[in-house]
Amino acid sequence: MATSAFHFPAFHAFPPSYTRQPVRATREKQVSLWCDLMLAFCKHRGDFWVDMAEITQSELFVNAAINRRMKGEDVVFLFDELVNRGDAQWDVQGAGKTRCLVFWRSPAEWGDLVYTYIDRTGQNNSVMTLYELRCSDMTKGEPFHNLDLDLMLLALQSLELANKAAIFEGAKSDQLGVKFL
Amino acid sequence: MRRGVGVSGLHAQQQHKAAYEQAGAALNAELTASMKVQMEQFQHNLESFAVKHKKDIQNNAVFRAKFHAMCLTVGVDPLVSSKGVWASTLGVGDYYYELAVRTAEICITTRVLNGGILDVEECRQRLKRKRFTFTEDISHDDVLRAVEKLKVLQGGFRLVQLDKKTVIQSMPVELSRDQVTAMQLCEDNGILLKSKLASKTGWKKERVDAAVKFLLDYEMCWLDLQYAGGEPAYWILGLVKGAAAQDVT
Repeated sequence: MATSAFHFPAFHAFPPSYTRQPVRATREKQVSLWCDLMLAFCKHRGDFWVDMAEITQSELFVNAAINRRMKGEDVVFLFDELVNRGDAQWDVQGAGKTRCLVFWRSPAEWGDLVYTYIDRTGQNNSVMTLYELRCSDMTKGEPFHNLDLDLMLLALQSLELANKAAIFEGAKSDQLGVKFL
Repeated sequence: MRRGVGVSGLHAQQQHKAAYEQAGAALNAELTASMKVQMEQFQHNLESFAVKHKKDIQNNAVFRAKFHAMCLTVGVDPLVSSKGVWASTLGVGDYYYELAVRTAEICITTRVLNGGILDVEECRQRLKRKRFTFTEDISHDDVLRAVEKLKVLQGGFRLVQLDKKTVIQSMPVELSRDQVTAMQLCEDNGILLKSKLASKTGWKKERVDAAVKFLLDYEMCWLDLQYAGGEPAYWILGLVKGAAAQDVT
C-alpha cells in the first residue's frame, strides 16, 4: 500500500532524540514529537497492529545515517505514552506489551467514514456482516476497506454508542452482523 | 615700549579684555550660525541621498551598513526615528521593525526545542528562507541591529557573545560566566562533553556538573547517551550547525 518513501521530520536525524531525556519539560516535548511521528509512520505503512519487536528494528527507530537507535524499553515507553494519549491500545490478550493497536484515525473517525458510506449508498436499515463491510468488492476503494477487524469492531461500537448502528452476535467475530440505523 | 602700569594701565587692560570678549562672542555666534547652516545642509543632503539610494539601502547589506555608519557620525539615527523623514521617506525604520518581528518569530518558534539559544548565523539563514518584504540579502549586522530593537520589548531578548559566534538568547534567564564558558567551548558544533569542559577549564567535577545541569534544566541542551566513545554528550541545539531539528514543523 505504501509505495512512496516516508519523509522523516528533522528531529529524526537529531542524535539526542534517541535518548530518553532526563529533564521532564524536554522529555514531554520529545515524547510529543515521537508520538506524532509514530502515528504518521503507521499511517504511511497502513499498519493497524504494531509488533514491538518489528518496529524497534524498523527505520522509524533505527537511524543508521547517524548511528542511533531507540532501545526496546524506550520504544515500549513511547507506545505507553501513545496509549495514554488515547491514540493506541495495548493487546490485552497478548503476553505483556508486545502488540499495540494504533489509532492514526480514532475509532470514532473510522465509524464516521463507515456511516458516511452507508448513508451515501442508501444502505441504512440493511444488515451486513463485518466481513462484507471490510472485505467485499462493494467497499473496495473505501478508506475502511481491509480495515483491521479489531479496529472495525471499535469503530462500530462507537457508532452503536451514538445510536447509529446495532451489532449482532455471530458464531465467530468476523460473522458478526451490523445493522445501520 | 611703555608698560601699562598704574591706574591708566589697568583701565586700558580692562578695555582690551572687554574688546576681546566681544570679538570672541561675535566669532562664536558666527561659527555656530555657519555650523548650523552646514548641518542643515548636510542633513538635507543626507536625506536626499537616502531617498535617492533608498533601494540600495534596503537591498544591499554592505551599503546599508555604510549608510548607518555615516549617519552615526553625524548623530542621526534612522533606526530610532519612528516618525518623520527617516521612516516615511526611507522606510529604513520599517526595514528593521519587520526584521525584528521576523527574528522574534524565529526565536520563539525554535526555542521550544533549543531553550532560547540561537546562533545569529542560524537565525540569519532562516530569515533568508523566510523572504520577507524588502530583501533576501540580510547581513549578520542587520540581525544584531534587529535584536537590539527587541531589547526594548523586555521579553528577555539579548545577545550573548561567545568566542566566534554571537547567539541570541530569547528566554529571560541570566547566564553565568561558567555557562557561557561551557557554550564557548563547544561553539563550533554544539556538542558539549564534560571531560573536555573539565580539561579545558581545570574546574572541579562539581563545577562542571553544575554548569551542564543548568543548561539541561533550562532546556538549552539535550542528552545523548549514544555518542561515539561512550561518554554522555550534551547537544546545545542552538549551536548545532544547520540544526533543522529546531524547526518543530
